[in-house]
Amino acid sequence: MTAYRRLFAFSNLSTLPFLVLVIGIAGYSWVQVVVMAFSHLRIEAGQFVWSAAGWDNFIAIMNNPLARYSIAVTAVFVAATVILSVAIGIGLALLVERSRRLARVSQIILLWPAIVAPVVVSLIWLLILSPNIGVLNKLLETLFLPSQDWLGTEIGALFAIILVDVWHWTPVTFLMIYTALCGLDGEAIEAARCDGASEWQVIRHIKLPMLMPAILGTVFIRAVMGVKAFDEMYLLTTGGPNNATTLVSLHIRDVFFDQLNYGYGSAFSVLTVVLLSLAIALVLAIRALRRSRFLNPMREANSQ
Amino acid sequence: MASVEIRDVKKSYASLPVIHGVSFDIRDGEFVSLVGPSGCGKSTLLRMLAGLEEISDGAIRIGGTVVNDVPPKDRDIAMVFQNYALYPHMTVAENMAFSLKLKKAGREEIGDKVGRAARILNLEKLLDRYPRQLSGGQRQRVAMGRAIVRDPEVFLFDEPLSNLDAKLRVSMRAESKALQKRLGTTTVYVTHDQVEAMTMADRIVVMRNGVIEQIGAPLELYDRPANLFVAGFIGSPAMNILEGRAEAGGIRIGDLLLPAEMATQTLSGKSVLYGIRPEHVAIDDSGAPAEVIVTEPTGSETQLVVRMAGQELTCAFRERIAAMPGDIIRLVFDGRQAHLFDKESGTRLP
Ligand SMILES: Nc1ncnc2c1ncn2[C@@H]1O[C@H](COP(=O)(O)OP(=O)(O)OP(=O)(O)O)[C@@H](O)[C@H]1O
Ligand SMILES: [Mg+2]
Repeated sequence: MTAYRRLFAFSNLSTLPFLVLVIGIAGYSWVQVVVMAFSHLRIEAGQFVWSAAGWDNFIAIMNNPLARYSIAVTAVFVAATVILSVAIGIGLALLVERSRRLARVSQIILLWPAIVAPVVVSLIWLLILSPNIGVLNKLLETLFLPSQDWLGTEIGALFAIILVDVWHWTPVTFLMIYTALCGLDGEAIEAARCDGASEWQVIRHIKLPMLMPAILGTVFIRAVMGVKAFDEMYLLTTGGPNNATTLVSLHIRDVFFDQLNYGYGSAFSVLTVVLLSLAIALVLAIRALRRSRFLNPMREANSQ
Repeated sequence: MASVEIRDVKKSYASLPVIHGVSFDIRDGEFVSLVGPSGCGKSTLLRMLAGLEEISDGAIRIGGTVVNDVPPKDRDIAMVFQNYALYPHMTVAENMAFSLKLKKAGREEIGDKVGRAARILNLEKLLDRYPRQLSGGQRQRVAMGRAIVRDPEVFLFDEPLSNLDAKLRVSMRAESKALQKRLGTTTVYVTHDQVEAMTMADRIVVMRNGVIEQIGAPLELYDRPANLFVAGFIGSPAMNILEGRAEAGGIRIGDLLLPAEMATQTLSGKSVLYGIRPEHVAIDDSGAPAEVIVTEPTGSETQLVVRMAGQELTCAFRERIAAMPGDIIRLVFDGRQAHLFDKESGTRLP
């Protein structure tokens, strides 16, 4: 064995304690959840009583209209919040980057919502959206537009939780993308200007593609945050009206803590993770496909 | 192709002036090299030509029109950056095609031009690679390719060869020069390598601290440097400068009388600086004695550092000299090749 190989073996070996720790902490709880997902669990005399359930819990989810509905609501919620917050984050980052003088101030102002605790966020928005005393309705009235019972209608409530989530977390997407933007190769951007690109073309053909890794990373993080979103919705709507805002997280809370249906709750958690992973894999696959030459006729034309 | 006029151009960053009024013209199709020590404002001037930097004062004309307020995209210039500035998410072919796509050129035209550039620059096998998969020299050629597919009014190069190894640099130097002559495109080429400037340029602009020290053809600068700075900057090894006093018939340094053609009566008695290039010193038994301090054989020539009349100077000889430190040799100076400079101002006399 050469010295290099020995060193390599050692460097692998030396990470072992860390791996064991990670697997011990993350892995154990995961195994527990998966096992629970395939079990019937009851509490009798303060003890868990386990019995194998096979796919029973998953079948129960499929047969539960509320479960299916919550998946749909979550899908809409995640898609809307991810797209909106990332798009607005990109827009803000590009704007702030243009005016270096405002950069510092705007960073602080823009970051403010992200620092506010979820409880306070809910309170603020309850006041804004309140049908009688809310600022939003007052605003609509002064514009001679009909006021709405925002949290009282199904569409209004869904719209409201999306709005609140976007308001709360866009600062984070902004900061991530702005940081990436500041790190881009400035000379490549100047080269594009010399090559004849207008400001918009520079953004479209140079900045955005160069930002793509950061944007994708932000999308993934926001997707995970969206699936996990819980506190503001719980405090704002408690899943209502008519379950219109029952996200998967709220549904799982219900079955876990109100109905004490642990097996079902665990199965739903596992299902959520699987669905999210599939969605992420799909995005990555589409990206990989678009990169390959088959779907890119421009590249064909150039490489003659 | 176009001529370029630079008129009293100034540049300040905040309140810090870095270019203090620079003027020169570049003829249509001319290759002008901009040289000077680090920080003298070469890149800044080039970036003002490109439109990437605002012009604080003065005017720049390209093809007769003032371009002070014209954005880079409308100037029809192609710039090659010091660090290549390739688009990392595009292949070599896409990098070169980008400007053409923006101009809405047809697919065939794009294929044609990119193919031609790739042939000239020997990039044909690399067209599908991404910049990160290329070596420094290959990236450099892609950056060149991106410029030549444009067929622009003016080429701007900012030290494009500085990251290459010595051998590649020499071959790229020749290739770039030949290419420029073939295309006949007006070119401004920034470098701090005076050999690069001497070998490539039709004319050289020597800058220091934001002002122009001299403009001229390479051999003009070599033969008649306008001041001490240019004398020291152009030529390698650098010109020797000795302190002396003008007399009828030559320059007196210590107890030596060195020949100098232009030591006329009018200068007589004046304190001057006597400049002689290392290659204009010869060994001759009739010469003045000098003590060898260092010998540096480079293979093609022998360089000696010697002490003469209390002052050190470097000499270069085509032949091999078997001198050892401590030896005494006798040197004669070629009076027709000597330069005189004013001691206070450093400007050339007469
Ligand atoms: N953005 C800036 N803000 C303030 N000063 C600057 C800026 N850019 C350049 N300078 C200053 O302007 C002067 C000229 O810089 P420039 O980059 O043109 O030098 P250069 O001749 O290209 O040097 P080099 O050979 O090292 O590339 C330097 O003193 C530099 O410090
Ligand atoms: Mg520079």
